Amino acid sequence: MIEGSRSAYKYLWPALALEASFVFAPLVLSIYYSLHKVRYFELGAVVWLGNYLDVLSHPVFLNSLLVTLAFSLTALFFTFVTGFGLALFLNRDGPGNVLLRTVVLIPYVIAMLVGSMLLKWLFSADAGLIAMANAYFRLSIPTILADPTYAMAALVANAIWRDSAFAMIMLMAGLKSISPSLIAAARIDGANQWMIFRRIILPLLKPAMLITMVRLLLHFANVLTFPLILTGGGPNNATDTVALRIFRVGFEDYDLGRANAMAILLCIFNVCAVMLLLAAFRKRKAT
Amino acid sequence: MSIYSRIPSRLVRAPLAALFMAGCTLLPHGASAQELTMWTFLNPTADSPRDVALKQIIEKFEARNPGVKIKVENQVWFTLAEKFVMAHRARSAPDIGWVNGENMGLLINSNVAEDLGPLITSKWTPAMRRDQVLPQANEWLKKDGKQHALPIMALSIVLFYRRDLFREAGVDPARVKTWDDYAAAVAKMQVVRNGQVERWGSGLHLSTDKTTMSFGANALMAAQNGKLFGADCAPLLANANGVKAIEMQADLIRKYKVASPESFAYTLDDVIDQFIAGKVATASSGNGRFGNVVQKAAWGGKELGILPWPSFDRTKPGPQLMSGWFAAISKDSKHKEAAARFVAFMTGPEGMELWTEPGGQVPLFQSVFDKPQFKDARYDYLRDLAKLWAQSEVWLPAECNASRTFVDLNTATQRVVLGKEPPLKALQEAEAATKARQ
Repeated sequence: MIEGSRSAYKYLWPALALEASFVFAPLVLSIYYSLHKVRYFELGAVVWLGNYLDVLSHPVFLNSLLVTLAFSLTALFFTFVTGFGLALFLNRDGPGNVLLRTVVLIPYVIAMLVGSMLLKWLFSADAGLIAMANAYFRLSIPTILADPTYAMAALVANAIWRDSAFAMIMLMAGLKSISPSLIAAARIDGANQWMIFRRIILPLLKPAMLITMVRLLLHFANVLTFPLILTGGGPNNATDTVALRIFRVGFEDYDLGRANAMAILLCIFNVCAVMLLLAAFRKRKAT
Repeated sequence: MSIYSRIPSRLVRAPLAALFMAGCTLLPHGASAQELTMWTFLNPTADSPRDVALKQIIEKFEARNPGVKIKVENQVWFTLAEKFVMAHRARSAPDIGWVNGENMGLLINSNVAEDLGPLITSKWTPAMRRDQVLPQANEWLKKDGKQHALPIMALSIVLFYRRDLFREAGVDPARVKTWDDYAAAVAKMQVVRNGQVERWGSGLHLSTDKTTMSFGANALMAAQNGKLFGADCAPLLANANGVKAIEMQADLIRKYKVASPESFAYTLDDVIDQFIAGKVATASSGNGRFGNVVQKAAWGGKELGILPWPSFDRTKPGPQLMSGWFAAISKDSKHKEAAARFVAFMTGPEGMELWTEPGGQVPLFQSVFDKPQFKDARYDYLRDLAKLWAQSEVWLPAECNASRTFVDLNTATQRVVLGKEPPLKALQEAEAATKARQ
């Protein structure tokens, strides 16, 4: 081993130690607990894959998997598109744009819990903006939080409202890294705006897009705060995501064995989702 | 020769020694003082009635026990019990933890609490035992001869109503005996403007989060002599009584239209907030919030009343499902004796006097009720509540995990209202979910 790489490890070990303590150790423990019966926070007998079979054959968990898939894909699409639009629109520096960027960032800097509580009352047909709109403008907007479809839409709206700012920041950073001289050269060669966007901006923005999408997908697949606060997982489990199910089974039913089994399954789901995204981006490069 | 060398040394040593000893008495007694950590949802620095009561209890106890300090660590109420048990497993439990009745199954089954029999209850005199208003509360917390906790405040889920609205609507509360009477009465108190309901008659909480007994659960228990569980914690939900109860609850939304469809998203806290704001005419809650509602009500808290639960049987009111907050001492506590002294004080007659005034809670000792200061009319609601308890109190088996059963019933109601399933099938799923938790 050459001297340089030996000394490099000296600088790496603190990060590796942190990674081991906060990522690998909990992961190993989680797998360990998922192979046992754990009731009332006390480790019981080994059940091997019993918890996994229990969970995978339970209709409520299967419903929550479908809900998570539907929510994370829908939220990802709309959040990404909104963030991309905002990044393109607000990319140029100027006092107006700087102010607008700040306004867009506000939902992102508010605590998630506070944001979801705000939206819960906003969407309330009894006490919120919906109620006011119905009263003053004689509208008849339905009860959002009591309808399964509208409740899911409210959850997606929460995600867009909060996380499109994150997408905007990430994509704006990518846009700023594109050299203006490339765009100037393209214009000189007669390219129109659409051609510049499709042939120069999009290809150069791919790394930023990939990072944004991966980050957003993982966030939406694992988020607990939105469904817990905004909808409670209802009505009728229509917004009961896997993350919420893990919380309920682990800390309300006191069955940490099954909760950890669900967590490992969610981890596998996350890994598969990220690999699919990476493959999709790689495929496009090849063609 | 210096003048100082002429001063005899004993004249210097003696005062120095005296000064030193005097200085020692001024040193803080931290080294010998015991600090007891207590987890509760109350905050002694806040101003609600129960917070003030706890502050006064602690001050009085510390004045009588100079070597003991109580350190309160405020926790969120619906996670207290789980945190207490988890902390015990992590060997970082507080000396004293508050546990609510819904989670007593967790405390008992996890076996993390010290036996309060030898520490406290064995020292009760027969007079003390006869003085108790709810002796069954102590028995409820005893399993296999071990006293797991003691009651700090007994609560029941009650039905709050507004006397002013009942008067305006011309409804006599004493005539509201059945669920049909109730639906008809609260319908008169609804306010609709421009097609928008500004005040609902009934505040239902059907969320699957942070909830407790709903109207349907009460109706079911009323039909089954207060039972929700049979032997070995087998749930008794999917039967004719359950169907009738769930349909009644669903009809408050879909047929009588006195409860908001948004009840699906409302927690117990949401409904009480709306009641305080005047957005619903009636609401269920723990009676412990009576003082809080009186203090904060936008419509003037003096009009607050407690309605006996309606039922399907005109001759008998619905049950008062008893619960409360209970004090447990951790098995790992290093100050068990001091903790026991504080728990005995907090749950004894002297503590109970402060829980009543300023706390606004029902005293659990008759001798407290009999004190001259509590004969005043403003304590009548406490007497009325104690009478209701005597008539129709019901305790769910402490060892059964009932904390999510009301959620299962709420989910069943949601399914019925949304038309996803017939009531019996929805209840069968609720029963299976409850059974899996035992």
